[in-house]
Amino acid sequence: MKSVTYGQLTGAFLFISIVSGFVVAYQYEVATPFVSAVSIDAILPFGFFWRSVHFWTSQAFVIVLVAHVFDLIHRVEGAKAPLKMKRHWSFVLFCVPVAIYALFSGYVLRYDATGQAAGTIAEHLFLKIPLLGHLIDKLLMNLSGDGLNRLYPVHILAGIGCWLIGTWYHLKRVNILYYEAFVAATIATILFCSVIKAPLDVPSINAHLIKGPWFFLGIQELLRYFDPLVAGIIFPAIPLAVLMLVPWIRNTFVLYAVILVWAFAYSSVTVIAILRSG
Amino acid sequence: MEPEFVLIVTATGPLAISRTCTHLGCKVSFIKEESMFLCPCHQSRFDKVGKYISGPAKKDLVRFKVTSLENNEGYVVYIPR
Repeated sequence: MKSVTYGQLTGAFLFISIVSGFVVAYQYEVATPFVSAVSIDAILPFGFFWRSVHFWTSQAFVIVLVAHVFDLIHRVEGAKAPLKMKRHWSFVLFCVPVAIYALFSGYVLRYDATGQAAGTIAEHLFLKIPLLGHLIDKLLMNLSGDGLNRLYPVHILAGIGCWLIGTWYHLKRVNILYYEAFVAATIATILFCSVIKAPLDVPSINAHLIKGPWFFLGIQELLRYFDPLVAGIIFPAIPLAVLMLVPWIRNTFVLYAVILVWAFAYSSVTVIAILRSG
Repeated sequence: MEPEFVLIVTATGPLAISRTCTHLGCKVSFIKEESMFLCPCHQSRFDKVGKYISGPAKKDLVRFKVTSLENNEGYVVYIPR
């Protein structure tokens, strides 16, 4: 068996996530999101399994996508890298924020305690963006004006968008339907999701502490101390901006140092948020 | 306590205090033991009439206009949209 790469696993997990997303979508009602999520788990035959598959493969997709980016970044470094590849890198990298938004919107769509709070915070953060804030909110979220009616199609389009950008770039370069990766990802998913359910936090009218999705915890912690524009928009955008610059800057050491310091800082505040009890 | 506001009847009349945190919009909870509002997202605190105490919110909770119905039949709370 050939060794399976991060890139192949990225495609495999995204494919399983999209397929399981369609299965879950048949039972999802955007007007009663939390009831839908509970019904899928409790009433639908094998519903908990399919929701678990959708939830966990989406997590796996984003994690292996980030690993895939760092695994291949050396190819676009320096003057020897082809110009076309450098240009593609800066464009295809948009898959990362799109993938994270797809994952994030999935939390909001189940509309449990975590989802409600995360969605409300995200909408307020969008509105803090100078000039374009209201437009971005109207396009991507608009919870206060339109409930989940806007977010639901955006969630689906974000997943499909990742697939389209990914296949567009890779189709002529590598075999994206890599058999071993699909078999490995499918077996791991079936074994894991048969046992582990997707989480669901029952909303409470008098909650004392709500923690956001794991990748949002650092931002949630930073929002306690800093201005929302800095903590919620500028700080999270730093690694993406730096990664986009890698092909175009000669001294990549400085860029990697920035990413390393950022990752250490973000991990630290995430740990603080995890340990927080009030 | 309602999803949008908390209605408190004081000696000077009814108060309808918005449950939307002035920081980033999370729904604040009322902590009975400490007679205060607490935001579960970033732990901003407000006293029992919605005045800011601590945390990142910095502003008081919004108060909605509230009127009493005749013969003590209840209250009408006006939520601006």
